[in-house]
Amino acid sequence: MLGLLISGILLTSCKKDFLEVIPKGSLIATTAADYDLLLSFNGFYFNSAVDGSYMLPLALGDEVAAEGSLFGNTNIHMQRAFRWEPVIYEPTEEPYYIGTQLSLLYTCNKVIEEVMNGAGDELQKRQLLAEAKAGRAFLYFHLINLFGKPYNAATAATDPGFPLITRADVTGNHYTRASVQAIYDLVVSDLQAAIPDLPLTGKPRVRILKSGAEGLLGKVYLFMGKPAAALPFLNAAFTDMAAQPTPPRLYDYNVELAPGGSFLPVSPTAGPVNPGNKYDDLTESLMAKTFYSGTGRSNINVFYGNSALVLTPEAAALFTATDKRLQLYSANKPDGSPNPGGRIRKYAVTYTKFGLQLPELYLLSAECKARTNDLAGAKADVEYLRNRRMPNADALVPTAIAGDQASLIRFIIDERIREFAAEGYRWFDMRRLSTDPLFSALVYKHTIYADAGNEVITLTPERLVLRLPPYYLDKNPEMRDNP
Amino acid sequence: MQKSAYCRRSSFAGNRGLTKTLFVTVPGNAVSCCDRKLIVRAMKLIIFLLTAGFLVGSARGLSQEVSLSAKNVSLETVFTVIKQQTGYVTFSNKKLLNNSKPVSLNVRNMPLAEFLTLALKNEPLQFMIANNTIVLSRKEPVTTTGATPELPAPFTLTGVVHDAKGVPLANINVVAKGSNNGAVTDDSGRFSILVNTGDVLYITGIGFERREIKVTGARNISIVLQYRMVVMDTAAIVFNTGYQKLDKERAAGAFAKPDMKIFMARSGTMDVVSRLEGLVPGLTVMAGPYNTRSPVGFGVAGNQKAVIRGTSTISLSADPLFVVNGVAVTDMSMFNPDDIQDITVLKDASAAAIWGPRAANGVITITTRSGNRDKRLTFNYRSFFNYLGKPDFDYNPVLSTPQFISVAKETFAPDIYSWSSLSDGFIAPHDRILYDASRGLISSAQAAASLDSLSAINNIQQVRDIWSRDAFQTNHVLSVSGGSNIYNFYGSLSYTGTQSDQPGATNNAYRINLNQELTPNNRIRIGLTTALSYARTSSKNIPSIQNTFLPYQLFKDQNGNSINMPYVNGFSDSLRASYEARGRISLNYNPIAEINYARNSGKNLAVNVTTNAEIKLWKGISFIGTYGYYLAPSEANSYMDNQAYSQRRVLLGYTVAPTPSSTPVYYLPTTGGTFQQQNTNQRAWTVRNQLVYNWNAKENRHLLNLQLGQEANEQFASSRSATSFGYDERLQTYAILDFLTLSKGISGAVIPGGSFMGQPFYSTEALNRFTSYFALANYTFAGKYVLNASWRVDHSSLIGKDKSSQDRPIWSIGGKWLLSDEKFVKMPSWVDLVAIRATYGLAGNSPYKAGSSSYDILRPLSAFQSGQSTLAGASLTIGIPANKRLSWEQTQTTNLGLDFSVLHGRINGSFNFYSKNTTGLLGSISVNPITPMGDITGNIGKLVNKGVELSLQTVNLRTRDFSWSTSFIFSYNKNKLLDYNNYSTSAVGRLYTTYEVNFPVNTLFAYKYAGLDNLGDPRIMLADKTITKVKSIAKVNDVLYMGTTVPPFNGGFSNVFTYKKFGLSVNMIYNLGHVMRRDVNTFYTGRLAATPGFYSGNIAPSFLNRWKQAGDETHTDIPSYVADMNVSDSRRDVTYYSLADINVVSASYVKIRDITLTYNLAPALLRVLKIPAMSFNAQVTNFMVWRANHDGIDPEYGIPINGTRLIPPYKHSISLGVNVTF
Repeated sequence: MLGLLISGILLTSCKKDFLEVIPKGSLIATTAADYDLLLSFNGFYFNSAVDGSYMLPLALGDEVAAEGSLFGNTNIHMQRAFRWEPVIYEPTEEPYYIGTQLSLLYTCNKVIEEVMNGAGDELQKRQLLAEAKAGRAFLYFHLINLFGKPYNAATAATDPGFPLITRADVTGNHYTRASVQAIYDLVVSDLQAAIPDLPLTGKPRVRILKSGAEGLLGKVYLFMGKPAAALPFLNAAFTDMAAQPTPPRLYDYNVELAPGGSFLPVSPTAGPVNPGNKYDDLTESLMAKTFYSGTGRSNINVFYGNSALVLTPEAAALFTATDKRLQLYSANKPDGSPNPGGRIRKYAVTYTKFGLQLPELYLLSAECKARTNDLAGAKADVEYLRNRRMPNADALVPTAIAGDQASLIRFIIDERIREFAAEGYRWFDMRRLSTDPLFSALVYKHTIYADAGNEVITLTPERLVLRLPPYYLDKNPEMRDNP
Repeated sequence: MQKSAYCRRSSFAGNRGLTKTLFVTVPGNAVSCCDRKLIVRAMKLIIFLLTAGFLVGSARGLSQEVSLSAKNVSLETVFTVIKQQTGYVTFSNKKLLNNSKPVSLNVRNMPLAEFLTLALKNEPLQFMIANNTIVLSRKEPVTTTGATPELPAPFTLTGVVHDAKGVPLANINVVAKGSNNGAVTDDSGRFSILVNTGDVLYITGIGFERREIKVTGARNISIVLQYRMVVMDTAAIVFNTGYQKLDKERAAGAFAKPDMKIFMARSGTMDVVSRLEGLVPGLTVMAGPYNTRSPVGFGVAGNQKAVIRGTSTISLSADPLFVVNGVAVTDMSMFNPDDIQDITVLKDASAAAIWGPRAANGVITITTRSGNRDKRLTFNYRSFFNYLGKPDFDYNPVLSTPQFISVAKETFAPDIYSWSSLSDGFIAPHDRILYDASRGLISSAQAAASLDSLSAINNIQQVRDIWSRDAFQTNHVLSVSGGSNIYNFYGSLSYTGTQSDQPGATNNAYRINLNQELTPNNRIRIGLTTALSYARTSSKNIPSIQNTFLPYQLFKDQNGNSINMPYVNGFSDSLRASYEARGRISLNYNPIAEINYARNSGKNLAVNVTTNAEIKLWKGISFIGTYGYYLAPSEANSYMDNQAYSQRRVLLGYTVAPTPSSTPVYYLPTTGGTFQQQNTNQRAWTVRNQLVYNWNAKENRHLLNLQLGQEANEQFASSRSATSFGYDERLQTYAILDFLTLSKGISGAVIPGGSFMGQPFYSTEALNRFTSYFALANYTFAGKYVLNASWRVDHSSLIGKDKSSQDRPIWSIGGKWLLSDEKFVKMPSWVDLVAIRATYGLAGNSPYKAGSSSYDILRPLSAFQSGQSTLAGASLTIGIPANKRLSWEQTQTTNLGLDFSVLHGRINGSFNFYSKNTTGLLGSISVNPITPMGDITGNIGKLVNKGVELSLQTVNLRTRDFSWSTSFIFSYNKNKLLDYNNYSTSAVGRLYTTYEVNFPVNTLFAYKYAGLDNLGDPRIMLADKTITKVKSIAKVNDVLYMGTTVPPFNGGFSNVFTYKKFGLSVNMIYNLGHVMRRDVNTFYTGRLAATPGFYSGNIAPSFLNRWKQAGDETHTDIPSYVADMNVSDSRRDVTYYSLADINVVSASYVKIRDITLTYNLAPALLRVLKIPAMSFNAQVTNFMVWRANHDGIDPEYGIPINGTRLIPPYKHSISLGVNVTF
């Protein structure tokens, strides 16, 4: 009898594997393959949310103005950013825009901490470690360019930056701001450590390949005012990207927008079928990161994105009439009615790429060459891009400019506007140029066009740095805000 | 008394004669088994019964003749031979056989009866043959006295009557039946009466149990009368913990039982929790729709949330654990409340700790009805019809149509919201008129005329008639019960039909319940509970339209034709026309036509089988096994036709047509519809094996009960969903889609930005397992001293488990002292019983219960879940980030209790004081926003709950025809968060948080209001007395603590009156001491009626009293309207008004939950009808008796934290019921 009872009890309890249930639908990372899938997370390369990625920089840049009739319906954060107001977020508002970046940082730190202890091929693990470091560098480069002062070697060590988080731990508290220098040091050391181990090819370019990281390090050095240090990495990026079976290449707008070209037909609402309308077109991307910047036609009558933004007359004047990039602009409002004053808006970019694009690599290279006095090299680089954006006859850099270093640098900076207007790039250039004597006299203005009269806002120097959202400051009282 | 059955059946092969054998009764005593093998067989029997049911088998036709040739064989051998040759089994007391002498026999083919007579010739035994069984018993000595009985002679009997404590009782009637003489006791309890031997004395007195005493011949007797317990049932109160049944006298823990009569009479709801409201001290039922868990199947409109003794957990569910027949269940709705016999609420650690971590919120154990042991079958039919009516729209005040139109005119601001900026926007008809006038398309006179005609319309009648209907519920239960002392059963069939207030929806639930109990002998008891529920539901495409919609928008015109209203979903007319022209798909919207474009249907089945087996093994040791199995498959189908607006809208997002002349290319089907079938399956099993040791000595001076047990359970849930597109219901065909293309989105679509979320297949699965070990001990000494203890440890398979953190035993200890039974305690004579209790215990919650872990838990993203993820293929993301500092939530509970009964049972009560200290409170930590991984579960603080509970039952009046009894339930709970990681760092944080350190949970904070300024902007006063309207200026200490939104005081007050055959019960509930925000207008800027896609637009009438011009600030607190959102937003913060202290009011209220009138048919009528009992009852519910607020708010129909009114689904419910036993 007792035997029966005991066996009855043991039947269920003593089976060793009774509790060893492997649940479906979730897992704990143990193998290199698991970490690989973590770095495949689409948040690393696509942000579909209305308040994502470069959304604020989009409004902050001085190459854009606002259409008053539409601007009132724009998201309030974009409005405040456009007005260069100190307070963009209310205390209760989580800046989703930054939050998404910081959550990716956790994944990067996790992979960096754990992947080498995971099961799997050593080479693969080293590649993943490198990718996570490069990913972390990208995130920090972005953050420091929002909340830290523009890099200035003399003051960077004391300029407050952003908390330096290198561990995946959500229980941490009482964060303080590391210096701008410390953040740049991390960005540079992460990229330098990553580059030797990153694969040349074998993954889609939404993952970080060697050429992408090299190009990024070049950009970082240029932003630190070290064009000479940047050049070898930019050159390496050109070299290493060629190892891909289908390397990044520039679309030739002269071809693609001509009859039979791949950018046709032209939609009345979204313009030509160019990469700006296709999130999955990675042709021009070295490191593809995309965010949705169109309005959508949602039920919520609030515009995000670029719909209420038009080019300033000054920015529009930078284009020659034959510049094919103008075809990405519309003189109509989103509802199809013509814009008073003929102001144009970039309607053909609903997916903005903010990772590292090949056009930017050419322009970075050109700028570094110009700044290191390789004017011919710079001219060649910038013309290589321009040749694919307009008829070759108009693509040449005027001789007077090509022969003068300062003028050529200015020309290249203007080319950056022509290429990336209304995509958020300009804000980061405005910041770094503020420490450049060549551009020190610039005064930045924003105009809101309205029937009743235009409103003009002038950027004050301290607003080149965003204030930290109070949402972060409240929980981290040790962090001091920017003025 | 020890009797054993002798049995030699070697196996239970087949079902031959088996039940017949077990059904045999031995005269005098039930048989018990001598042979351990019988237990083995009994176990097999259980299995057999489970599979085959209680079928009665037929005996195989064996010979009934015996042949035997043997010398000096034991009787045992003889019976073995009989069994082999005839199949007849023998039952006997083993001692009888031990005392028998060996026999010698030599017979051939002798009939069995003859053979037995021969074999037992010299034995002191007699036999009986019944149903293939030979039953042996001791031969009765034959009495041969032939004396004639003496004739009785009358004599005088004297006696004294006293109570159990020896107190003499006066005025007691003593009547001798037979002699028909009577007497009454004097003050010293004495009486004398003339009687005959053999007479029966009837001793009766008010408030005492009647006694009958046979006159034996003694001349002087002493009679003890027991007080009649007039409130409590005379049956002993037994607390069922699910693990054991504990007499009230032996329980030290805090248990409570509801008044089951009131519970059963509450036909207004089928929800078990709602029926318990106000009946159990310490159980707070959170009333109202805000506190309803999502509706479940089986005719229950949604389970009400309840907390036992205050919230002791934050992120985990605060719901108590429900246990039915010893097995934890997740869905109470599968049981018909009418089938419930008994409910015990386990409140303190001593009562509940045996349920392990699941018991931290208390446990409610439920026993379903079981059969009676009458030989007769009893049928019962119970039924009610409960009428609820239509939603009470009037509860939420809104502007009348003329008011609305006038507000629309006042707030119209075309200069700020220009016509051209609204191409995507929502333009309501009144706005259209105003814009047309401002754009010069119509004259102002035309506009005024149009607006006037709108003002004349009120749609509320159409809202009532078209979008709601009368709700009601019917319930029918037919039950039958019966049995013998071996087998009894209770079976019920029930039907619950629910007509909700949503037109076209159906909900029919059917239940079958069968409880069987088999007691073959006094060693074995087997119970089998089988419950089966089935429900079918269906619904149509009914939008939620209330009185907050545009008040002039009718749904049907005068001719009864349904009205088109495409504007409801946004897009200007011109934009819509352009989309329609290019896509060649209409974007019209007609809500009435939409009703039939989509439908849902569901089938739910739930099967619950529980077996309880109790086997007495040896000398007080017994084995209890509890085996439960639960299976609940369900199917949900939904179909949405391509004609439905949402389908057309999606289609246009996947249609490419650059111009109206180009042929549209459709990437989604244009015929058929979207059909989705979802199958979910839940199954769970529990196996519990307990060894119980019962010991009593010295006539129950020592009573000891020890239990040791092991439990394992598994919960499995899976869900599969398949969706077909372009599905043709008649042909059952569907379209093939290019999901890869669709997932990426179509560029150049007619409506840009469309996203196709259709997933062709979806599957989830979850499996959890637990093993637990537990021990229980109860010891009672001299009926006065009680000691209870329990211990339990659980291990689970939950992900991320760390073995070391699983070994967290949960334990409790408690004691009870029956003070009034002490000789040295001098109790006044009116005190019947006083007992004091004290318990202490440790309970806890496993961190893994909250889905957290010390590892990062990763979640997959299939390529389909986000179209863009196809770029890098499927991926993983962090689902729940690790909390490396995670540990158990522990709750230490101390309970002090006092039970009393006074005035001969007229007043009974119990009083409890408790203190619950929760440390390592598991909660949702909003992690530092710098590491924004969402909220994680962590140990966030300390919480203390203290409270007192009182339950009092009194019999106020009792005459022959009339009685009045009262039950009063009172609970007070005070909790305080002692430590909390997620402290608010801003004023705004405090205004929206429900948890704040040093305050009770569910706090409510408010700004200190300082009136309006000269622009009509609200101002607040800060802690330093500054008055300001500056936004975001308030710091943590600038907001005031207003109170908690959970009532600290609550309970019930029930009065039951009976007059002859009529009964009236009035059950009142009260919730006191909490606060809530008033609902105030929140529209102060922007366009009136500007949100498409929802049936909203109307606003609160208090808007009319807003600040309008300078000077108004002296007589109104309601902010001004500022058309420009940017101006309003930059200048002021209107929440300074809406979240101000002036808008926080007391939420206290007292309600009559229900009034029930019962009529029991008079016996004379019952005799005519030839039925034993019949009753009728009528119930009305929900009457506000008193509320502290002056705003007409019923706190049950509001959201306290943000001041929103919820439309009550009905005002009063009225139900009529009948109950017949036949």
